[in-house]
Amino acid sequence: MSHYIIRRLLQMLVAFVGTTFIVYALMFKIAGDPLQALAGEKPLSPSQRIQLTEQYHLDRPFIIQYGFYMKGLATGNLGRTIAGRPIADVLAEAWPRTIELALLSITIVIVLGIPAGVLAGMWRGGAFDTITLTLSLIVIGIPIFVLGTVSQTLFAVRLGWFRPSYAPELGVAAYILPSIVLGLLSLATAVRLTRTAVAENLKADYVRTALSKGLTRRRIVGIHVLRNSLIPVITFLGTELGALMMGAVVTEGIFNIPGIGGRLFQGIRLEDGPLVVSIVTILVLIYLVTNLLVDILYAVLDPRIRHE
Amino acid sequence: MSEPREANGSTVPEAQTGPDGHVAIAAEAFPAAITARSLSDDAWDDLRRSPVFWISITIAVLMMMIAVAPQWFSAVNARTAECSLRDSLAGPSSGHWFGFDKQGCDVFARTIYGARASVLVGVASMVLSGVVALVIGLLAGFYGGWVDAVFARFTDIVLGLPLLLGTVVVARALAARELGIWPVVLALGLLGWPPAARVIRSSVITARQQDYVQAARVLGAGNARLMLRHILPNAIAPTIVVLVISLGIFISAEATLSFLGVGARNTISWGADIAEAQRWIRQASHPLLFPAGFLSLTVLAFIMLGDAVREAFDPRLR
Amino acid sequence: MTDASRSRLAPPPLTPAAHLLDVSDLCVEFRTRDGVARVLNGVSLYLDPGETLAVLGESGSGKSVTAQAIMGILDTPPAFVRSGSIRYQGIDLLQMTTADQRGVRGKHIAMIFQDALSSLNPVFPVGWQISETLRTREGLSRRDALARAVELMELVHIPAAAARVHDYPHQFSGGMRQRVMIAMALALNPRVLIADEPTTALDVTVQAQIMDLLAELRRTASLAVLLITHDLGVVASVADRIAVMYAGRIVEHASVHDLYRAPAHPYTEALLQSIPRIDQRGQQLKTIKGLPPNLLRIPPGCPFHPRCPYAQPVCTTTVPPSLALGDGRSSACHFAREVLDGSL
Repeated sequence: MSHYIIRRLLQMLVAFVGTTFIVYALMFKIAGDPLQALAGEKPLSPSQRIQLTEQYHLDRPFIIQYGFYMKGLATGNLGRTIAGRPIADVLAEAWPRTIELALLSITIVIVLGIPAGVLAGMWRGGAFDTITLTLSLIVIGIPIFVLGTVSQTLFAVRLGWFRPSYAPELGVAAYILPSIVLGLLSLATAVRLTRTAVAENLKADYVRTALSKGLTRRRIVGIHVLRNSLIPVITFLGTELGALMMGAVVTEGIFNIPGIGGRLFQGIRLEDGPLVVSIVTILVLIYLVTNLLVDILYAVLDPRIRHE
Repeated sequence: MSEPREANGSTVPEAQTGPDGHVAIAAEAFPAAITARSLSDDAWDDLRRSPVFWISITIAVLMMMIAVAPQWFSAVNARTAECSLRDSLAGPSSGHWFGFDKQGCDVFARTIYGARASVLVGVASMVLSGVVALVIGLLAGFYGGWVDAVFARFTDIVLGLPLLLGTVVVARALAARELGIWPVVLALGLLGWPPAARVIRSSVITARQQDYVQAARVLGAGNARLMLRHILPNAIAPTIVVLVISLGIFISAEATLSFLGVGARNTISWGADIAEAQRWIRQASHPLLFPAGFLSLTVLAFIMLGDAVREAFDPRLR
Repeated sequence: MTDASRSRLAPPPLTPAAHLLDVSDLCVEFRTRDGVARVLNGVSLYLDPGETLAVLGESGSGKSVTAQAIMGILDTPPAFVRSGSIRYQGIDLLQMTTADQRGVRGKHIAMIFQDALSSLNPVFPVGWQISETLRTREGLSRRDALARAVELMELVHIPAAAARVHDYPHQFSGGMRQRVMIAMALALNPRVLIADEPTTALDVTVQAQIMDLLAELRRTASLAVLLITHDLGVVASVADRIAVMYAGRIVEHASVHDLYRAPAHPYTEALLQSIPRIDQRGQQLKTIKGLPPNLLRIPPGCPFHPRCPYAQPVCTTTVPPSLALGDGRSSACHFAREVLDGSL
């Protein structure tokens, strides 16, 4: 088990260094003028040029620049936005909203997705299964920003069931429509994954054994089959929590939620290079860490991996 | 990430004998060749009878035609037409079925002319990622060992950079150079290959272990010949499936990037039009709904097409 | 409430005439896309306490389906029991409610399978799996149930049982896994054990150990064993009686001694001639020509006639009835007596 974790940890470190290096190289190398890449088409004042050059050590060799950037990342010094605000402050303020949104989303996915997937898997080929499969395929096929804008138009603007933009005074209620939009894709994938896992496990030999032990169908499905089927589903949901943070870029942008994703959305539109690079790097880190946690969780759930 | 565990190979139930009555024995006596042949025959039969297949392929072909020759579908040329603010946000009318957007441009014409950017980016990214996936998947699967391990770590790095975020960075960095759609294509192609590479790698590994490939190797067939003549053909069906699905995903990604504002500039695009329309949804929703509908239909068509083919070819789902 | 308190099966009111398990004229069919396959066509067999009946046949002969039908774990659909009865202690299991049938499984009739690795749930420790029915059906506490699981593992000779009770199936060797399966099957003290090819997946030496264990349990626990196998060698050492199956029928039924001495059915004869024998070295082994019939289209008359060296015109038209040959021996061949005395 500890060998497994150490190996995964090392693999994650390699991936993190490689990925951030690529992001950093893309940002500062392939653009002709790194300053202009940071600022977009906005004209830069001489003092801004000096400040950015200093912040990113642009007068030093590339590999040193990258080293300084990683050091800054490790010490929490993320530099300043084009407008001059410390990026760390911006992020600290934005985090709670994104976490609330993502948690609500993942709750919706778990509460609706797993039962629907289990039922579809048990009644494979039946009406419920067919409807679920078709609906989930449609959801998978529609881009998330279309889902977001159309549901905003329909349910908020036309029908007035929700506010079209984020209203902090509503508390958790403000996140309902955005979290559904954010979670729909994961929901569709989770349903399909659960369904396949349950249908395959129902055909497994150990189910026949459980039957011959005289166990009730409820116990066979609810304990034997479910425990096995949930292994891939839980690992998927773990990775998905990281992916939801990414999906939040679009969803928070559409619904004007000032979370991490909303900040990135704004950063892209306002061509704020430093903010974009910082947020992308941090999202990548979150994504890799959740993947690592999921791998560990996988080992906890599946004894065959644990004793590898 | 851990490799998905393969389910046990399907076994023939005791009584499920074939037309000649001896499946259990026949399957042992004549491996792969016969079963594979009849499997793909069955798959095409199933596809021909699947309405999902026909609907999705019709939409896919239609969208391709719109992208190639938009002038056949819209009397108004959206690239040259003058837009008049007098028409701003006017609703659908005869002659202007989808109404007008905020700038007073014909939404139908813009929707038709917007297909090209999406489909072109999608196809070009698919070709690029397909080539990368083919090279990496073939080499990793065929040589295994340290080659496979190196590619696995490399795949980890690329997977660590989610498609959308990576593309945002690349497209932004290159935006100033006025390269049109190519930064997006490059980014999607270079970041979007891992799923296809995985499929190719695993079918290469399966094929490599088959007896007839081993036999060809023993008879002295060279590596290049083995790969091209014996192994590649086995990987084609699953690769096509994953590429068709990725075409849908790339079209969706292109539109998302345009929506975020990092797509190609000065190009009519569904994503950009939807982003613009979203700002005015309180006044009018038709400028948003029509391009959104076309985009969704296109993405859906490719994903459903891929799904239908996969379902027909995957014996475990039968 | 536990199953024990509401089971309708009182301790055996056995009359001398009644068998512990009595299957009579069992017919099972598979309804498939290509048509109806008649998998069992009038199977009758019986089992008494403390004895072993081996059901022998090729794959597709219906031996596993027979076991699953007795166990009540057929996959329905496609499998359907068309007619017949399965009496356990005089009560027809097929007439019971599903809940009562479930009560019989494990408690009265238990079963072990060919592939112990896939037949055990990979994510639960073996002790948990062995003790599961004790907890859920007998109402034992976790602690007591686990202690009993260790006893059961010792009973089937798993070394260091107390230390291994929390291990997972993949941590055991093939033979030890099959022992775990047997321990699990014995948890509720069943009277009948159905063993479906229990040693097929194992090495020859381990096969012998498992067979010895089954023989030992049969003596000590007075267990009746229904052994499903395709291996004539396995049968000779442990079985009391043999039922040979072909195309969903029992074609010959005899004591092991009688059957090996002189077969009364051409199929049995062919099977015996196809195993190598130390006293006939240098001779060519005989094989059975042709293939087992397609169960969707069983040939008219005797299903074995296309492959039978003695086939006569009558064999192509009339299904041979089961002929009683004395000493409980029977054969479903028109020329059973002639085959028996070798006069054909």
